[in-house]
Amino acid sequence: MKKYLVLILIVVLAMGVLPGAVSAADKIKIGYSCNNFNDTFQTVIEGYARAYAEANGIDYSYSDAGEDVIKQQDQIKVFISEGVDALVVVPVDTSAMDPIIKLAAEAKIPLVFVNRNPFAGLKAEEIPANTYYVGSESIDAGIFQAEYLVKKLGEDAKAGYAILVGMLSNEAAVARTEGNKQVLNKYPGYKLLAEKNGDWQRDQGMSITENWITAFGDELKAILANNDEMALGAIEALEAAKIKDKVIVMGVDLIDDAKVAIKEGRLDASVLQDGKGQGEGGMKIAMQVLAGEKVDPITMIPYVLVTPENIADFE
Amino acid sequence: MKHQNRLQEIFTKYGIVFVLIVMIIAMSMIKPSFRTLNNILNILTQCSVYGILALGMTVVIVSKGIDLSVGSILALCAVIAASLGQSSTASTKYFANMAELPIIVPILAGLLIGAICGAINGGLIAFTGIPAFIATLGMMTICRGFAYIYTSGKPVSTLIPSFEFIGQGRLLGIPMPVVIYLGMIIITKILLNNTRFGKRTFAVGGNINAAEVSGVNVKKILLWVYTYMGMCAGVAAIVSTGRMVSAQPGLASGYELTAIASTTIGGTSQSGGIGTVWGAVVGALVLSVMRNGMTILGIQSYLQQIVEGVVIIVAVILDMRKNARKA
Repeated sequence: MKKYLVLILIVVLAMGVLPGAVSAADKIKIGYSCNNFNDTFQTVIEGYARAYAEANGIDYSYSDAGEDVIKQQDQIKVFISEGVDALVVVPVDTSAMDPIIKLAAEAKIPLVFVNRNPFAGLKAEEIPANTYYVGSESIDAGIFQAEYLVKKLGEDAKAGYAILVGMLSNEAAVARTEGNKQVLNKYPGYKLLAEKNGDWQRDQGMSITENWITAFGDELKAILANNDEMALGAIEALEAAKIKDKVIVMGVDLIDDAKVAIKEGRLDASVLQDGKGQGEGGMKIAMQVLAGEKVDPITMIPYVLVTPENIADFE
Repeated sequence: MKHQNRLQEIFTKYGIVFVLIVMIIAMSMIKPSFRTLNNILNILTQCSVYGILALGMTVVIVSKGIDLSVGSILALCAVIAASLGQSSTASTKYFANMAELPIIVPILAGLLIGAICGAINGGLIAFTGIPAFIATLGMMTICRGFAYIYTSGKPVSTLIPSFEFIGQGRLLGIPMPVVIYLGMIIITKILLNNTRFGKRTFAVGGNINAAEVSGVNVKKILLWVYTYMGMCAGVAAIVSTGRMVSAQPGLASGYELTAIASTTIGGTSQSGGIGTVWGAVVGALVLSVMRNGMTILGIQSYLQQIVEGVVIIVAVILDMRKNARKA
């Protein structure tokens, strides 16, 4: 009887102590809310955030909002009631983040936005306390492409170019296209022949380019695509028409197919949005804030232009 | 007087053909580059993928059905076919130790997957009685989901050269996608107009109760109608994969609507029992000429979408007047 009593006592004690022992180690708990797991690049960013969490012993939980603003808010409420120490959020809609900012402020935990900037156009002092942003400026990708084009053809070149635009309602599509024009409008020799939405798709990039070849013939010297998929479609069309060597083609994202195409000399350049920088960056900022360090509200992770000269660095 | 009536009759019957001819003449006059042989082949190649879908869609709509899942089925067939058609030099291989397979394997795989998905659609509609709109809406998201899971969201690329031939090769100077499209036109035409299956499909679409009473096995017909649609999606998938020498899980989203639009512009009636294969071909050509023409003319993207919508609506109005006159 005594033996059993002792055993029960030990079990009870162990039950009481064990969870305590784990929480006594005081693992930091961070909740990561992704806008949409169907978006390949978002899974890349999330992968780096998760890897950082594992490497640093962070108690990491994540959720997928499936491009639904309300769902994202609900998931963040769940995170907060689970007692997370910080939130890392990729906004579904950058203009609808006020409720989430309020939730985080009430819970008195730091909130780090990643990849999509809800504070675009705000001055540093206008950004709510204890909220941060880590990401890139979409317009830079367009600027990088255009600047590389000018570098390749020369400032005084006479060249017609066309832009393959992503989905018309996406901020990235609008801003990248804007970046292209902002640079090239400065050079009178560069003429925008056409811009058309290919909805990020390779097949549409191909069909549109086929029509452009008919419409502009030799005038067409460059195709700037908002992403790699459309750029690769353009390349298929140019190769079928046997004029690939006369037209410069660039994309954005540096997907695996684009890496291969750059190595083979088919794609002239791509612009890498730094998923590692963003995913790790978001988690790092959260950790620094929790450690009591002073952190700038905005951290820009620069894009990287990838060309045949530096492709070897991206293996 | 009588003569005039006949002219009017011809015009209402072949109105959309006149529209196509007028469009072609106008474009040729404004932009000489439009009437080059290369551009004409381009137009035909560009409509081959959704043109093939429109052929299957004609059979479906004649049976008084609809199929919203064809774009997603196309994507699923394409990624699976492409993964079986990868060259041994591919950097990311789906089946690591697989030797290069002969082209017939991915082709048959694509057709088979398409047929299975189509049969599921047909089975749901025939045996559970749920509306075609709902059954195929469900399959639309299911197939898209499978395509994403299968590929983890990444494109499948670096395919064997014979795949490239399907998309970019030529037979007697005619691009292969156009050759395949022509083949499918002939097959569908024979199927719909010269077989018992075709006649019964018209009967089911015209009056399902009358068809049943007269001894038509309606369930069996519906099953085969959607299976054929699925196979058309499989063929379109092979053409599309060949054209880009790769396949993406997000491929062809919205193509179901382009196919429905082509069929509708060509005069196939949503109320069932009325429809022609040549109508689906003309409808697909109208859309292709319009897209090609507007891009060559440099018309803004936003505006192009509006024009397309207007053409679809006007075509249906003309068509309803035609059918009303007949009655």
